[in-house]
Amino acid sequence: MSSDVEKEVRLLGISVSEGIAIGAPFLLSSVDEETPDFAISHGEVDAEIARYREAVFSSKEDLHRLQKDLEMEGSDEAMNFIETHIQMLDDPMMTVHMEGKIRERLRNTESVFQSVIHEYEHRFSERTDAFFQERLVDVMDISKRILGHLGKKEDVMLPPIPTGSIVFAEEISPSYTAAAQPAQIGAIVTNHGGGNSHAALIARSKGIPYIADVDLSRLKEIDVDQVIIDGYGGLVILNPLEETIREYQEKQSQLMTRYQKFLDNDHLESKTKDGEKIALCANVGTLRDLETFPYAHDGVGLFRTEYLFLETKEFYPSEDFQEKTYREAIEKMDGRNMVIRVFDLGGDKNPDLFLHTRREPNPILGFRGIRFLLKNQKLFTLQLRAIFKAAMHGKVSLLLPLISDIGELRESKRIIAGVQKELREEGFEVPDLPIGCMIEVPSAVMICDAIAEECDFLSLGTNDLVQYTLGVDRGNPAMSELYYPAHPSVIRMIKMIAIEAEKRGIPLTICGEIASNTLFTPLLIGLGLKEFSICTRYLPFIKETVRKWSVEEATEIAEQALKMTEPQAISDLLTKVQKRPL
Amino acid sequence: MIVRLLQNCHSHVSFTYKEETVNAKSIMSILMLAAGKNAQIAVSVEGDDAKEILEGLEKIFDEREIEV
Repeated sequence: MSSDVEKEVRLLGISVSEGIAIGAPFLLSSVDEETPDFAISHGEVDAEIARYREAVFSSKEDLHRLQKDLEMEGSDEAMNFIETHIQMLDDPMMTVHMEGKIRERLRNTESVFQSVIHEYEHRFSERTDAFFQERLVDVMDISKRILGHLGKKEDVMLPPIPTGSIVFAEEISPSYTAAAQPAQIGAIVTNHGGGNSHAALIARSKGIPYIADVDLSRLKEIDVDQVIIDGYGGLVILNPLEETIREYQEKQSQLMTRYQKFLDNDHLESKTKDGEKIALCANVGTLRDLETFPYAHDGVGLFRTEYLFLETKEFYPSEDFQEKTYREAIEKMDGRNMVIRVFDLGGDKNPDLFLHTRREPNPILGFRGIRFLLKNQKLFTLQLRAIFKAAMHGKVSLLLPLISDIGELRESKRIIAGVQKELREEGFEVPDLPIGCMIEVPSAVMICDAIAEECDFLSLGTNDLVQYTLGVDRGNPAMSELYYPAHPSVIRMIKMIAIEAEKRGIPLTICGEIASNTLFTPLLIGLGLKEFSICTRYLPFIKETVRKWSVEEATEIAEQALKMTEPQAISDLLTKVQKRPL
Repeated sequence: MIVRLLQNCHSHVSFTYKEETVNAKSIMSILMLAAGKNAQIAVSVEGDDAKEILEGLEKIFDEREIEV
């Protein structure tokens, strides 16, 4: 490092994920490593192909693992791109075609693979439209993963990086970002990539500052030993001056203070200015989520049980194992309620489980949720038995996913009652459990009066509801502009459900992304919601927002929104009131 | 879309664009053609369920120009 550097260098890029970071630079080289290239004999072909298959298999395993982690973090966008990658690994091009090439060319897997990928790259580089460019990023990403596995490197995802580094790269792969630990990576700066890239979405969901579109050539001209990343202004400051560092340390500590304030305010109740209690519950997917809970909460509003047992290959966790797991979770609740959602399995979520069944042309509209359980009653009753037995140790409610018809509720209730009776006959003093329905399909919204009549509580799942209502696949990047959680149709549906729940005096919880978004908090309170179930790290933000509003003010906003016909108008309204509470 | 339609069919289906022919059951191969909007491609289907497949493909092409 040259000590005579007196001036700091400021580079401007596009901020794609907010935040501030100060740290040492780490250049992530994107130079292709030497790929081994040698001839093989006919006799070695089968072994070579087996090695290739194994690498593809391990790559798929990586992706499934990542997908699971990401789902727990609530990062659905990221999960969808990983699904695309998994599909690519199943593509004939990656399987039959590659294996044929190894046989034909009689060279080692790496070199054959590399040439197939290069051909791909060559073709795609002829086309400049975003669609092909994004696909190329995907192809390169999976090819790196496969090559990594072929090389039997210890860690395919991440080279060792000093903690707190600011990572500079030409371009960063979505899976790299997905595997990144916020504690390890202070920030990301790239030459390419944009706000809608998968990598950006993931960085945002993980809270890693990310600036794209930065000219990295300057980095090669000067020695850099410290960098400041201002993810609010899209600013990269190389070798910052003392005073700049102080300025940013100050900003950073303000941000830290905010977190500290959250912790200090943890004892405050989640009440509106005019004293209305808004219950804030947590969405959890693992026992670990319960342990690392920094903030006070009003119970668990959504316990997604399907993730607990994905480790078990066959996905037929035994009754005892399930009971033990649920009991452990329930005992951590200190008497607060835990809403356990029965397995929400489906071809879209757990493709491995469904290898034996026919692949569905449209899994989102397919065999999932309660439909799956009613057809797999052995799995369903086993889980119910475990939940009932565990429920003897705390307060539990049962939640049924993807109810779209009253018949499904009745059939489920019949099965639940049967399990309860059976257990009592066996001598277990199992309690009565409140039974609730997820309202996440428009058909359920339209008959929610009837559903509310026959169950004990409702849980509004907005993620699926928005996608089914608007007919927009939220995982499809081409559709992202049409995915409006603030669509008038959705807002009106929420109002409908709130009215029906209130009429029958049953609790209604809202889960789904909008419940965790402070922008929506006043609107949702105004629509009559009194219980939110949210991703735990958003809990303090939501509480802070709840405390800023009165029910009256919130109702006024909801009334305005209910009159609006354009999604943009509602978004604008929410943005406006967010900055300046009425 | 195309690949989804073809996943469960028995016929051999291929697309030809600029003298190159690929297996239409492979999304990656189709992408490899790098055929953009309004590109003219030749479709060939051989097999028992050829007729239905052609009809299905026609529908997809009509509805969504040429998106895979």
